[in-house]
Amino acid sequence: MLPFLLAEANQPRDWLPVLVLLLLAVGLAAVQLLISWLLGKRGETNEFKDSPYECGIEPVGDAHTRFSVKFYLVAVLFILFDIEVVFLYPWAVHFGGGEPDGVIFQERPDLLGFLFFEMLVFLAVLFLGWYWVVKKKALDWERV
Amino acid sequence: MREFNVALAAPEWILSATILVVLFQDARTRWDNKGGLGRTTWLGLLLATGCAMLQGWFVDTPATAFLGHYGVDGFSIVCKAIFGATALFVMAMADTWLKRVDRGHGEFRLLALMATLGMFFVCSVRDFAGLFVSLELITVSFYCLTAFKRNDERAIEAGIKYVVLGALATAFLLLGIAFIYGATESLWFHKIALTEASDGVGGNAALLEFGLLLTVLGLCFKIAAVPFQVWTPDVYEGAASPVTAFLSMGSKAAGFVLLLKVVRACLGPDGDAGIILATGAWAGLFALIAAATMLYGNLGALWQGNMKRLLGYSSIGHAGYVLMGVLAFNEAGFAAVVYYLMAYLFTVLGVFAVVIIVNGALRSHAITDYAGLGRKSPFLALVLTCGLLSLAGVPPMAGFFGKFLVFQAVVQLGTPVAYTVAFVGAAGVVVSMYYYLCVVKQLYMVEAPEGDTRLDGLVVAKPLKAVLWVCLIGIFVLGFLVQPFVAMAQDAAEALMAAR
Repeated sequence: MLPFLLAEANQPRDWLPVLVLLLLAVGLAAVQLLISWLLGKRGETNEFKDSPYECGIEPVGDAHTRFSVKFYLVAVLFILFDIEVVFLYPWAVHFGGGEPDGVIFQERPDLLGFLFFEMLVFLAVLFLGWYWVVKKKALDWERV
Repeated sequence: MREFNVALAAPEWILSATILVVLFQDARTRWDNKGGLGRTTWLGLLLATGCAMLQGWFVDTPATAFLGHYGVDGFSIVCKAIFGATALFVMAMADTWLKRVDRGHGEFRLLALMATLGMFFVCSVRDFAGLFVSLELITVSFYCLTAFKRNDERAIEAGIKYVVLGALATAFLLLGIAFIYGATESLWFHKIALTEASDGVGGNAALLEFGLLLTVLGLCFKIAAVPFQVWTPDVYEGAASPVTAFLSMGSKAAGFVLLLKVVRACLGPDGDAGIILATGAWAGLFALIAAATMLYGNLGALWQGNMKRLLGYSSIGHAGYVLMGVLAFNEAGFAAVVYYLMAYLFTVLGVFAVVIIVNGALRSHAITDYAGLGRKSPFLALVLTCGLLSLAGVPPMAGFFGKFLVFQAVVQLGTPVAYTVAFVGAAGVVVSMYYYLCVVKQLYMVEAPEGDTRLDGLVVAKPLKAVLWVCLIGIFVLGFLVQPFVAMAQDAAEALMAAR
C-alpha cells in the first residue's frame, strides 16, 4: 500500500509521493504540448484547411444534433441495474468468509444468515423496481 | 455496539415498506385508478411518524442499531416528529394539487416518501457515510420533485439550477468528508472530538479544520445559507407549491439537523467548547455566514412582487436566524434551533397552504393579485396574516419565541462577535417586518379590481382545511403555551449534547 494511505502517515514528507505524482502528471502534459509546438510544422491556414474533415464531402448541418430522450432513459436504467453487479460481486466473494470477515463469522455464525437474508432483500427490491419499469413501459422502444 | 438490533429502526422499515407497496400498486393500477396510492401513503406516513414518537416512551434511549451506525435518542425522536408532521402536511397539500394536475400520482408520492425516508435517517445517522447517503436520498428526490411539472419552462429551469448547484455543493461536502477521514482515520462523528481531545491531531489539525470548513459549506446548500443561497428564489418560484413547501421546511430542517450533529461532534466529550470550535476563527466564520445570510435574505425580499420568490428570500433570512442558534455552540443555542424549527413548521406550512389555495383560483403568484382576499375569504386571510406575522416574529405568535430563544442564546455569549451578529439579526427583523406587512396590507387595505371574480367563493378541500386549522392552532399554541415545548426542545438539545 502507498505510504500516505497508512495510519502513521501524518508527516508532511509522507505526502511526497502525491506531490511527485502531481508534478509528473502536469509535467507530462506540458512537455507533450511543448514538443509538438516546437517540432511540429505549421503551414498556412485558410478557410478550407480549418473546416472539419468529413470523408472528403462538404460538411452538412450541425454536428451537435439532439438525440431522442429514449437513449438517455435506457442508459439511466442500464446504470441502475448495473449497480446490482457492484453489490453482488463483492458480496459473493466475501460470503464464503475472506480473511477480514472470516474472523467475524467464526465468532458470530448467525451473521452469515443475516448477510444472506440482506442480499435477498436487496434483490427483491431490485426485482420490484424492474417490474415497475416494465409495467410503466419504459423499456418499450416504440412507445417511449 | 456489535449488535444489529434491527427492530430499533422500525419507523424507517415502515417507510421503506410503504415505498415498496406504493411502487407495486403504481405498477398494477391503471392511470385513472390511483386513489389507493394516496391511502397507502397516508397509512405509511402516519404509522412511521407514530412509531417514531412512541419510541420516546418505549425505547430505553440512547440506543444504537446496525453496529452503532444508527442511533435513537431524544434529539432524533423530536426531529423525526418534526419531519413526519412536515411530510403529512405536505401530503395533504399535494392530494388536492395532484387531483388538479391529474398526472404522475405514483411518482410524486414515491419521491416525497423517499425524501421523508432520507429525513428520518438524517435524524439517526452517527457517521459521515450515513450523513452523505441520507442527505443524497433527500436531495436527489428533490431534484426530480422540483422539475415535476415537466411541461413548464420555469420548473425545468428550476430543476436544472438545483441540480447544477446541488452537484457543486455535494462535491464540497464529499471533499470535506474525505479530509476529515484523512485527519481522524474514521468516518464516525465522535472520532472528531476524540482526535481533538487526545491531541493526536498533530500535523493533521489543518486537514481536519479544512475538512470541516468544506463540510459546513456543503451543508449551507441544504439550509439555503450564504454562499450557497442563490438557487433558493428561482427554485422556490419554479417548483410546484407543495414541493416548495416541502423544500422550505423538510429539506432545510434536515440540513440543520446534520449541521447540529457535525458541530456537536467538534465539541469536547462533556459538551465544553472543543479545541477547534473554541478558536475565534470558527465563531467568526459562523457569524459571518449568519450575518450575510440574514442580510441577503431580508434585503432581497424587499423588491419581490411574487409571493413564492418573497417566501424564498424570507426562507434565506430564516436560515440566518437559525444559524445564530448554531453558532452559540452550546446547549441553549441548540435548544433554540430545535424550537425555531418547530415554530417554523406550523408557520411556513400554514402560509404555503394558503398560497396553494389562492394559486389554484388565481393561477398567479403576484402579490398584487392577493388584493381583497381579506373581504372575500376572511379565514384564508387570517391564516396568511398570522403566518406572516409569525415569520416576522410578532409577540403572541410561535415565530416570536423562536427568535427570542435564538437571540437570547447569542447575546448570552457576551463576545463582540455575538453582539455584532445579534445586531445584524435585529436589523434584519425590522426590515422583514416591512415586506411581510406589505402583503398583509394587500389583503385588507386594497380592494380587488372591478370585475375580478377569481377569488370569489373559494372552495377549500377538506385535507387543506385541516392543515390550515392545525397550523393556525400550532402558531398560537407555540406562542402562548411555550413552556412544554421549550422543555421538549431543551431535552432534545440535552440528548444531542450527551450523544457519543
